[in-house]
Amino acid sequence: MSKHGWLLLLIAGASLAGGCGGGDSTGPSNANLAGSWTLSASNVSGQGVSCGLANTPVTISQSGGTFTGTYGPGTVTCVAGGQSSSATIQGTIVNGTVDVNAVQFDLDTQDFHHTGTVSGNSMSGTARWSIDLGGSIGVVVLNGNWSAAKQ
Amino acid sequence: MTATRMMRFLALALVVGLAGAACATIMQGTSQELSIGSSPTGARVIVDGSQAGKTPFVAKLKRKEKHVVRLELDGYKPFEMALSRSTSGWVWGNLIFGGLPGLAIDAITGGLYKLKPEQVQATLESATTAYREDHDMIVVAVVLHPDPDWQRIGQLSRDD
Repeated sequence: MSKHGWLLLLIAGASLAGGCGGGDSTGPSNANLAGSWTLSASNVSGQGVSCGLANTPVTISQSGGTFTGTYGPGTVTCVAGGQSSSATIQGTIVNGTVDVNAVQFDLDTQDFHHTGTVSGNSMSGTARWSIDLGGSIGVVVLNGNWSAAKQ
Repeated sequence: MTATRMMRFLALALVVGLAGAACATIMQGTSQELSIGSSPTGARVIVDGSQAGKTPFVAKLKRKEKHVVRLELDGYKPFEMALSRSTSGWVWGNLIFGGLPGLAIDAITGGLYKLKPEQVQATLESATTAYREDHDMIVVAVVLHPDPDWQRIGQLSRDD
């Protein structure tokens, strides 16, 4: 093989190796959720009762595809049949996961489950709250919407 | 104002105050104190997988969550208990004063629930047995720190 032939072969091999090693094989990265957010939930309803959570501060710590945090104090309000009741709640964010821009987390327990998507400095989705009212009523499932804005 | 009128006024104020309220959340809070003891004392108290202290210990637990209490002490078998959660008597207060919204609020905050048992007192079993029979053999444990409940059948002395 001539000198030029060897040179061309070397360049082709180097290009191929570079192409294989230099490509981005990790795919899109997970959204960065770490920081302070304000969480709200609205029209989380079922069985004649509708509840909401107003402008509740949230702090999130993230490690890769999982996160934890705290929420509150915030005001949760429920209405039914013209009556209204509210209370202050606070607690921990558990079971938090983020996969690219798909997010899910629970407020304290799996009974208060939230799924949604992240877009820049905001995220939103659906909330599913299972509350055990005891006695003959039993477990009531409330479904609604939630949203959060990064501070 | 007569005493009777005063009583009526106070009753009315109570009703107005509780109307629309989440009774259980107000009256008993969203956490419950749980006394945890053991015999012998000094066992590590692990609540929901995290070490919380040593017995005797009072843990403040969220009513809305399910909890597991574990006690560990070297030389003893671990003790573990899952607490159960039931609706408290304040559910009736809600049905009268707070209605369904009050009931829902109490369930969301956890104030509606009562954790049982209200205290944990464990007698830890020794992890080692001093004596056991194995077919035609009798196996006797030799330890440096014997359980005070064991019966001494002999003592080894150092042969200098």
